[in-house]
Amino acid sequence: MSVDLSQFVAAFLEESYEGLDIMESSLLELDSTDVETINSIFRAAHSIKGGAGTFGLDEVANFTHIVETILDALRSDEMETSPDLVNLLLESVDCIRALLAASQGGDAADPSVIEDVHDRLKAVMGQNSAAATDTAASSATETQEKVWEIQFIPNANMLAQGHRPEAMFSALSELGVIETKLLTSQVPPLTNLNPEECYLSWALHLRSSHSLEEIEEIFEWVVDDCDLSIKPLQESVSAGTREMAISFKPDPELLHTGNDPYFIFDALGQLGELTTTLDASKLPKFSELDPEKLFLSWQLKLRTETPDAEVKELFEWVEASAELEFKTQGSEPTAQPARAAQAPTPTAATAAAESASGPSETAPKAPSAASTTKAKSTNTETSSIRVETNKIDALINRVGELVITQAMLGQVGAELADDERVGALAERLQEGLGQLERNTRDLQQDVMRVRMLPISFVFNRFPRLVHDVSSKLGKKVELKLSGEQTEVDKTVMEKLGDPMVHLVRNSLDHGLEAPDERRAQGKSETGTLLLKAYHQGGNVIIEIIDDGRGLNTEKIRSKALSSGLITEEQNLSDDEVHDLIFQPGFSTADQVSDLSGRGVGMDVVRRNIESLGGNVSVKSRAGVGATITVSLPLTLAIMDGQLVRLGGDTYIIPLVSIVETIQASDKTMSAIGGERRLLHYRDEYIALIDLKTLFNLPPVEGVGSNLVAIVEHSGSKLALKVDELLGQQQVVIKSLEVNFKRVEGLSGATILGDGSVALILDIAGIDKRSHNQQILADEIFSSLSTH
Amino acid sequence: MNSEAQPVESNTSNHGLASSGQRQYLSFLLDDEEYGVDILRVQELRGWTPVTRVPDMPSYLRGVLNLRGAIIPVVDLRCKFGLKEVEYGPTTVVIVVKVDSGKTERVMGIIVDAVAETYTLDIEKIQPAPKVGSAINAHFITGLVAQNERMIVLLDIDELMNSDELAVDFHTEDGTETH
Repeated sequence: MSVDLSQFVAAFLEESYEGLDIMESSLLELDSTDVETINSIFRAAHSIKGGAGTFGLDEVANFTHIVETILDALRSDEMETSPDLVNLLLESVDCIRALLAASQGGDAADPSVIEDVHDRLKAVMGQNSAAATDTAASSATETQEKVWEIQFIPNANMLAQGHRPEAMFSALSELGVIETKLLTSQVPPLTNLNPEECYLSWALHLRSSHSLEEIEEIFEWVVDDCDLSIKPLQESVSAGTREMAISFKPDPELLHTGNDPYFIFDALGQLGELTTTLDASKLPKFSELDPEKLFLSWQLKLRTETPDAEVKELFEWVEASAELEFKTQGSEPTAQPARAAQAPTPTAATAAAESASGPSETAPKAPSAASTTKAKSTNTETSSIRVETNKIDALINRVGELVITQAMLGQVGAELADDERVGALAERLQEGLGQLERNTRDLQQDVMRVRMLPISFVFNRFPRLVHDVSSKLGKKVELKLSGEQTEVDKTVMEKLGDPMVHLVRNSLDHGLEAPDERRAQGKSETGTLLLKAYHQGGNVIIEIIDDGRGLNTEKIRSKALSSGLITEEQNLSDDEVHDLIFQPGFSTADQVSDLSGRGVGMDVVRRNIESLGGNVSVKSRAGVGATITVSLPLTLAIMDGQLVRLGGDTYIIPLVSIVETIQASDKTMSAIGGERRLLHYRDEYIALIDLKTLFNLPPVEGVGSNLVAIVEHSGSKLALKVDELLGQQQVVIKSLEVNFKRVEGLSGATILGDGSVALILDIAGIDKRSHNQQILADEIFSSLSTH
Repeated sequence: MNSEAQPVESNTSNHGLASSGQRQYLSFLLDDEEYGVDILRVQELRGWTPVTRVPDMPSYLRGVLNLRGAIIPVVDLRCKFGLKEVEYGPTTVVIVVKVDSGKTERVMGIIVDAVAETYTLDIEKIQPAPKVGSAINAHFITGLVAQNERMIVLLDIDELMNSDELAVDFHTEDGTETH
């Protein structure tokens, strides 16, 4: 039987990369007592290995196997975690990632690195194997026969995945004597039954001398597709038979939530002897009865051996929509420790791993396990689906079209309203159009939000980065994150990563001091780096705050003086001096380190962030620390624009770059040598650019206006001469490049309400263009005068 | 009104008949001359609507227009071929074509006087273009074919629409270095 596996490879890769991310983040927060974290790392490695084997990626499978073996030793306490080991494992995560990328035609993984890590992993394993033989010997003595209770609840799609429960049971029967009990409560009525799905679940009792690991191995391939719990039977028996009184008063809306009390009772009935008393006192008169509401409540009595937690679990789904009360009559003397171990992790196979190490040990661990499971569930609760971004972009485009159509209709409606002949009908049309406008705006905002992702996607890479960089620099750094759930457009996010890495590295490298230096200054040895994100107006603000030495104002000033950025006479405030670090070619690092100061500095950061329509600034206090603030637009797809007229054409200036618009007088506009003119604006002279000349637009007759828009980019100002200011509106940015090409001085185009295209000006491009034109003009001028 | 796209009248049965030795062309008129383009490259036909001028472009590049949300450049073929310019009228048509530009496929418009016919032509009957000096670069011409006693100039859309100012520049966006 040959199946084309290629279609699954993409899904496998995606899962694997996610798994690697989990491994990485878990490794960073790993401390040796934390069984749950080690388990999650182990599981991630395990599924990567399994998948890689299935898809014939032997290199990945073999490498991951070694990692898995070490992780297995860690989780069974045969090995101790150490910072060195964590680093080694982190490196191996990188190797697996590289191997995966290489398998998909990416850059080939560097074999020497892989081999190096491979050898070191082997070495670690070698050290451990000596110790392992001891434990193996001791565990061998423990092999007396036990009864294992196995709860096996497969997911509906298990059969479709090619797993066959009966094959697993026959494998189990080879380990010992099994008793199976088939649970059919989940089987739907025949009419709803999908023959390809599995509705059955099993409760098995296995009498065997084999270890837990060997039993788990049989279920190895299905752990992800089922709820599995394996535990020694004695513990649950010890709970003792007792009577529980359950008062169950559901909300009238319970049926709407898709729950049916009878299923719960049915399941309860399987746990023991159940007697129910129905309370129908709340039932209204027949005439007022709403058949979709539930007016009944029940008093239940259950005689069972099952621990309370498991009984309560049955009510898990209705807890929120019902009043529940449990009373246990009768004693359960020995049950305490066992229940504590089972309660926090009711479903996962890991419960078995814990209980295997003995009830006396599990009891103290239980609280920590409980807190971790709880923390996880809050993360995974937000249900989501994966959608290709181009589908979302198509949706956004479509909505953009809708907005334009709506604007067009709005114009027609407005014209009609002015027409007296139409009268009242036009009013109703106007009303409808008004509603349409609100709805389309809302729709547009909602669709835009689909592209938004929490900024944690960027922040998540920093714990690793800070860990690596600080250990390389020998500094102690605590990284704090805040506002990780702040949402940003995906495109902004993608382009934000590199500048952020640069800024964080800079803070680690130059900002935070070495431990002894910090101690000498009376600070704690561990420096703090805080990454903070929040929304402010239409922007997202990201702050990178360190409590290091701050910027060295004097050094920056002298460096700027020597490189001619400023002159001796200029009397700059500290903030203005600090801002100089964003100037091209500025680096004050005494020595070029491996991490930063490679000549690509903060100017690139500023340029990248400005190209996203944002800005970056720094605040610093000597000895106390520095704060770098990055402000970015929420989305790149929409921006606020100022519509201006140049001759017969409409252009758009990004509102964010406009400082102000003024009516300049002839006196303030002075010509200096040739075409380039200057505008005297608030004590400074700024370049005055006539856009029509710059763009070679045909001249129009009539009196030219002296309207000037003062714009700013990279901290410098420009004055743009325009013919008329038309209005401000939010515009959807479209690329010119997709079907045409990049035009210097334009950042894109948009579609106006009447369906026509308006071009969006790119201030940085205009500045560059005017420089080039000036140079060209000078050359022509000088060549003319010399001949 | 005229912004509505008219579907291309490629009658599909004829298309189905076009065997391996045949190819279908859409022909159009420029100053009484008939030109043909591969019909598989034609996306749609539109009536002329004013376009938005793009600064600093040669005069044959009339500007850009909004094709259902996409911004596409529009080329005046008369102007590109050095023919006398005329006022745009009710028959003036913008043929929207798909252009293979190496790594990407671009959508562009060409302004012609009017659309003429669709032909199914035998490939062997297409003659190579003679090397005569004209405003039309010989690269732009796939060949010539005689049909109903008329000569039709078959154009190579990819050569034509990737030339000069329309060439895709492969410069990086802003020359941002990575560290």
